Amino acid sequence: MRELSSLFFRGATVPLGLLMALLAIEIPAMADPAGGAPASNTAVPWGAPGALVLSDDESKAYVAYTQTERVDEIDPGSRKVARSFKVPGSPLGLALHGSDLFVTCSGAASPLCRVDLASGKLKTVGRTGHTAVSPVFSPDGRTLYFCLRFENQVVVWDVSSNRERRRIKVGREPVSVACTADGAYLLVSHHLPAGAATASVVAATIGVVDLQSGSMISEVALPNGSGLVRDIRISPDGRHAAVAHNLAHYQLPTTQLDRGWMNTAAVSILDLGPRGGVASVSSTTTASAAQPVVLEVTCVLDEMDKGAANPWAVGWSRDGQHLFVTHAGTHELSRINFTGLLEKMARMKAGTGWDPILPAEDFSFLLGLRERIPLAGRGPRSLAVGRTRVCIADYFSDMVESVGIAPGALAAVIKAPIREPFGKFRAGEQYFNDATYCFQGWQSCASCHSEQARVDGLNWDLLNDGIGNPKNSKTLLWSHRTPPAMSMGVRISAEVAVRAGIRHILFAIPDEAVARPMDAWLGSLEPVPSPMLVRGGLSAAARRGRDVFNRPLVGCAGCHKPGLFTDLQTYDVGTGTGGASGAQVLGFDTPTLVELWRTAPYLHDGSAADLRSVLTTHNVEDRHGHTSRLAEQELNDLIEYLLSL
Amino acid sequence: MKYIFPRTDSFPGFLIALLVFLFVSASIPVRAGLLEEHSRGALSNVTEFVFAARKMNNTDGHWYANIGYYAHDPDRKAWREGAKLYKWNRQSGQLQTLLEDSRGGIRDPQVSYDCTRILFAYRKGGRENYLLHEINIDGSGLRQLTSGEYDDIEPTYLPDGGIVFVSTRCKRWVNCWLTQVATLHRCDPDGGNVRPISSNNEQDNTPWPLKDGRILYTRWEYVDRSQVDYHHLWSANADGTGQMIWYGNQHPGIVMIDAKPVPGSDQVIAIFSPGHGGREHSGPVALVDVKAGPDDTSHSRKISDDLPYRDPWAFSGHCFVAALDGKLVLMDDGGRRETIFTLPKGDLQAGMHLHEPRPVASREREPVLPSRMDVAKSTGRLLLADIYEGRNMKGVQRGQIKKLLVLESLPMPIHYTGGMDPISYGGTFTLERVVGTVPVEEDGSAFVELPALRSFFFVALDENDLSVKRMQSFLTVQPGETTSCVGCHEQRERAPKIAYSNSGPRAARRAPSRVEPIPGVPDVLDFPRDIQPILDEHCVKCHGYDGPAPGARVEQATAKGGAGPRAGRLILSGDRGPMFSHSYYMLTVARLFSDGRNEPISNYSPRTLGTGSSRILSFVDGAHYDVKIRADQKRKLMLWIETGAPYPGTYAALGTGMIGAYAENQPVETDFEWAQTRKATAVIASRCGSCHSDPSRSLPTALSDERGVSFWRPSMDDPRLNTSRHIVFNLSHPEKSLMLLAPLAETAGGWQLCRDPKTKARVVVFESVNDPDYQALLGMCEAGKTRMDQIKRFDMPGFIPRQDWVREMKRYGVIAGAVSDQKMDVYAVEQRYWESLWYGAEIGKK
Repeated sequence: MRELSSLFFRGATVPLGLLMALLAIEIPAMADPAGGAPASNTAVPWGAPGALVLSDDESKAYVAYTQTERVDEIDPGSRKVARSFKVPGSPLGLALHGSDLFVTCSGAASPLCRVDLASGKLKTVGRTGHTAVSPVFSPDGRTLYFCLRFENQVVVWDVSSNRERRRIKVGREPVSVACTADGAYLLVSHHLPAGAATASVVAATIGVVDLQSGSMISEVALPNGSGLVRDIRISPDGRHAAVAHNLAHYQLPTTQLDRGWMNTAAVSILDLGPRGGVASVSSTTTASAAQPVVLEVTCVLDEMDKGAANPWAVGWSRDGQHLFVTHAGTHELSRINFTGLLEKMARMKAGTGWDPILPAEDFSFLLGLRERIPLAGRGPRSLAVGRTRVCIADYFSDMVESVGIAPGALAAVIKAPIREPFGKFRAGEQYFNDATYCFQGWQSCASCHSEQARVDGLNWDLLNDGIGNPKNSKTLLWSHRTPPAMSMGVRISAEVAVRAGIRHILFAIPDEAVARPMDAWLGSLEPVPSPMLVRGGLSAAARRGRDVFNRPLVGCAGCHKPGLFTDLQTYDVGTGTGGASGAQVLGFDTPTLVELWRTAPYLHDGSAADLRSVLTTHNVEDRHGHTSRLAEQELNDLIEYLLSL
Repeated sequence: MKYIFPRTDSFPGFLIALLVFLFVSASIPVRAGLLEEHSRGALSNVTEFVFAARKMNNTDGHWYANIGYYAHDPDRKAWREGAKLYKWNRQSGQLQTLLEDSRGGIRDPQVSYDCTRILFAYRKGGRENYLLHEINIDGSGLRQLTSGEYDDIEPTYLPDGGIVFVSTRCKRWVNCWLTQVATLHRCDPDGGNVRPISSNNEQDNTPWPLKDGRILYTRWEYVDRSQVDYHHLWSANADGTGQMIWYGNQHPGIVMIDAKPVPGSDQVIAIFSPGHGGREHSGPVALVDVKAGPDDTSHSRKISDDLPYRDPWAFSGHCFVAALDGKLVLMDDGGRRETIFTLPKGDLQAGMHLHEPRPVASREREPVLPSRMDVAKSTGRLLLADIYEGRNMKGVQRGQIKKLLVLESLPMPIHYTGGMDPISYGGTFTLERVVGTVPVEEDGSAFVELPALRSFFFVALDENDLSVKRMQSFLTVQPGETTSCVGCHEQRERAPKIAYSNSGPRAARRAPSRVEPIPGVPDVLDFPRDIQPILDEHCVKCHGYDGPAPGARVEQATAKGGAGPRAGRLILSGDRGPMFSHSYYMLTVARLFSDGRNEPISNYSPRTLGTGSSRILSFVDGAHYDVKIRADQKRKLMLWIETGAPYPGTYAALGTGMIGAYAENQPVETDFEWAQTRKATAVIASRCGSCHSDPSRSLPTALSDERGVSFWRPSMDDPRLNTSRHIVFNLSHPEKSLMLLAPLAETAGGWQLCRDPKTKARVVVFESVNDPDYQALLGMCEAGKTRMDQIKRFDMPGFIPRQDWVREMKRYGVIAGAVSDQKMDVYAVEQRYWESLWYGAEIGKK
């Protein structure tokens, strides 16, 4: 931690006053699976805890280390690792019901593991789809639900038979799921907005899945600009769901960050009606049978001159009085007096002019209702709420921290784990995700490019190529291998773009100690295998599509040369629109096609929602490849190939 | 938080404040234990303090009146001689004199981040001005950083290595006082590359870095609102970009100053100097939190008593020091305090006070913000996202606003008193330039390119060029800056509106609009030159002194609303009164135009200020006795209203050309002792007094007699305005003074307006002009005319500006020493003066 802190500017270090540990959990070296004590003073590789659950009696915390193949059982009392479980892949998600612990792991066919905590036996109970995350139990514990992030599906898993019962199609990149108290519906966080970035509203949604029909019956639109949606959790009384997400003011040129001019951090509350069967705490329910879930309110979590970037994990106190949100960008925990929030909303609704998104614009709305608790670790991405404490796992610091439920309690820290020094790659990833490097903590690079440097689906009007010509966020995958950078190639290289981004988007002075590791990490990124692949290879249709792609008369491969899938040149493919002076923008840097399956929408302005429209409606004169003469089958094959890259 | 404090801008107020201070100061309970308590906590790493000891300006209570000289008397200085720079060790008790100058001045020490150097302002004995200096923490190595003839004070180290300070290099004077203005500048660590980062016409003060790397400072401003109420906290980036309100600007009163961040919290500690501020900006210590927004005062908290503290420093949210008289006081946020140091007796006896205590302790450097400016450019850009978004926009329909009128608040080269006379009567202090207009798009957006480092403000105009909403503050862009705002008086505690659609500001999709000048209209309007001819052509025939009808017919005609003279009891003749023309005075007091007045009110409802609510415009479009002025005349009239409706269009008019003027708030150039006036005063008492005994109907007894009406903040509801000296005395045509026409019989050519207060019957006071008493009154008015012809007003042939104005213009390099004052075109000289202040301007090339 010391070595990390020294790399950040001073304002980001943790005040000493907070270092009054109530509880310290040290992440040890790999413990003996039988539960032996950790080997002290032995440095271990970075674990990157990404999921955390607490046993009902708070006697055990289970932590999934995403950069390892390990799940630890920690005794918060002794701060020792009681047991460590080896899993067949990076553990991404945990779900605990009684002594039943499920672990979802990474992979195109994600292993699903089940640990009988009584016996300590771990069993891989199935291979599921692509990148299984966020497992949750049904209220009766008989069913497990989890997301297949890159297959846009939710899996219904029968616990007793250990079989997949069903897959349900949902929206784009489901990353979190919650089951209503009556077990009738699932709420699914869609990480990214779907559709064209030029649509009148560009926002991610919350999918509402009717478990009886096995289908997504509706989507609750979050406010325009919502994206990078994370955790969704339902209140103990079943009446509300809270979801953390970014709220981008993407319509405005990026002239400043002050007062949330670009990105803000938000939590949205959904009204689920009285389906929890618990006494009502809200007199303002508007959910109905016809519309079982509605947006109740969206609250901005930043303060007027102090951002709270990258809201991530969400949790409720068991009495429903408090709502907790982690800020993975500014390394904080928000403790929100939810009862007070409902009362304030009720007062406002009794007046005139109530709009559920008003509190999303008002930095003072949560004043007196929310505490910002600085954390010792960096990158708090998961939390678990027990009866008396909230446990938080810090992704970049390998820490687990604890904060008392009661107002006024501070984070309990926690000495740093003994860990190998961060390699330059991981340091770069941390910087990329760290908003304390940004002016007033409003955002990090990951606030537009997501935590793995991909896309947010939004158009942003950066000033580097004039003003008034918004461009769709580009994935940074292979950006260092495919100069120049930016849609119009205004940066000669990704290295230059990284430094320009720090200066003009984070409004900070580029520091080579930060920029170089970021370059290293970005340069090291490799594509995630496409969910379109069949057993790791191209499908038959994709193979046919590859032939079409390489056909000289079609002309794709001429510019998108296989390999990097770009010849690094600039072309006018007829997709330009008006620039600052109203003149036609002609040339665009040829982008790589790798990971096209996850980088929609397409073209420099995100005006093409899918590849079909890129190849058809946006290519009327065949200037962007000779696609008009392709037969329907050839077109389908070509698209399948492109989505397989 | 409310403060009850006597106004210190008046002598009685100051006296009361002084007495209160002396009384309370004598009874300060010194409580032991606080130092001991904090020595184990917030002060555990602080053993030494540096501070200045110097004398205060004991004849002027204005917080800023401590540099330079006075406008009307360069030999009178605002500074005092004798100062020391001390370092005190609280543990050993050792007091080290780092620098002493028995004739000099030392102020504003600041300890470097690494605790090795002290930056301060030093006026060497025998010199006139303060310059930035540095000295090593041990007192060695004194070195001068800046140079020149202007004052550089209140320096602060910036995290980027530079220095921000305030300086009189801005070459302007307080718009309502006799001292010079200092505004934000910055320079390199060695004092080189000095450049302004503010265009304020008034004081900026006490800049200090915020934890996020911005600068927090005090900006005093008054664009068409009260001159004594808006001195609140603003923030800017270290290069001057992104200037915006930080706290308090919607709440008149209190000089919020000496603000610095509080370690370990998001709060700021500051002095809340009551009202218009106390001497050396003293006042209670307050903690400020802006979480609820800049306009929410419930989050500021006074933590001290009401003694005149200065220069607070926070060690934590619970431990502070501040200067008080000759003492260094330790205090907490619970009202406890303890004097931990007092200046040596010799210093106290010499009249010195302890100033600017700073701990000798290293501190973290704030983050460095990248510059958003480009020094090579001469303009910046402003993007307004949606003009319809904002506070107090009720009733404004989307699409109604068509353009922005861009106005510029113009620097003042000299000033002599606390009022605005004769720039206006209770209205603007400052001349405002018409720069031009820029379009507002249908969606409410505007994108405009503005010259850098000038003070602009906007009026939103509708399709008829009538004002919808007026800005009462100013905006500055730095060279190359692109700044942006949400809308008209945007909600400062709010994020930009969450758009329900994806359309960004339409104006951003095109090149920024250059401000389009308005043809046919002078950029700085002058009432006698530009407006009076319109009145003469269209109005004076009825609303003047001349006309065929005797008094009785005047009344008849007036009753019918018909012809004049003095139709509707309104005089629009350009004849001169003692300070204004009669028409200017009457337009003002009849409220025929609408301006902000000198009132502590801002963010008015739409169509409350300017042309959107000025009654005179309803009389010139043909509906009023077929009076229809030409389009070019109307444009001129409207822009005169929008620019604050000033009387002169030149600051050369200040302090001259008036009978009964003011200097330092005291009447000067009065006629009370003139023989003619003494005679007339007796006549007024004997012939008028019986009917005019009621104070509301009292008559001025001399050309200079205000009868208690404030010269700088008159109430437009005051009935005494009907018989003001400004309207009853005619110094162009003495015989046409209402003071003479009203009591004179119709048969003698008078108007016979006087009435018996009981019967209301018309009475004749003077049957004939031969009445000796009539002649006495006439004699006073003629003497006034004679004197006016000698001293000459700005609009009179042969006008000569005051030597003080000439002196400053020479000092600023605008005019050369050899230029004949007699032939000076003051309007042209002032244009050159303003242009000389433009970014990149080089005097001599103009």
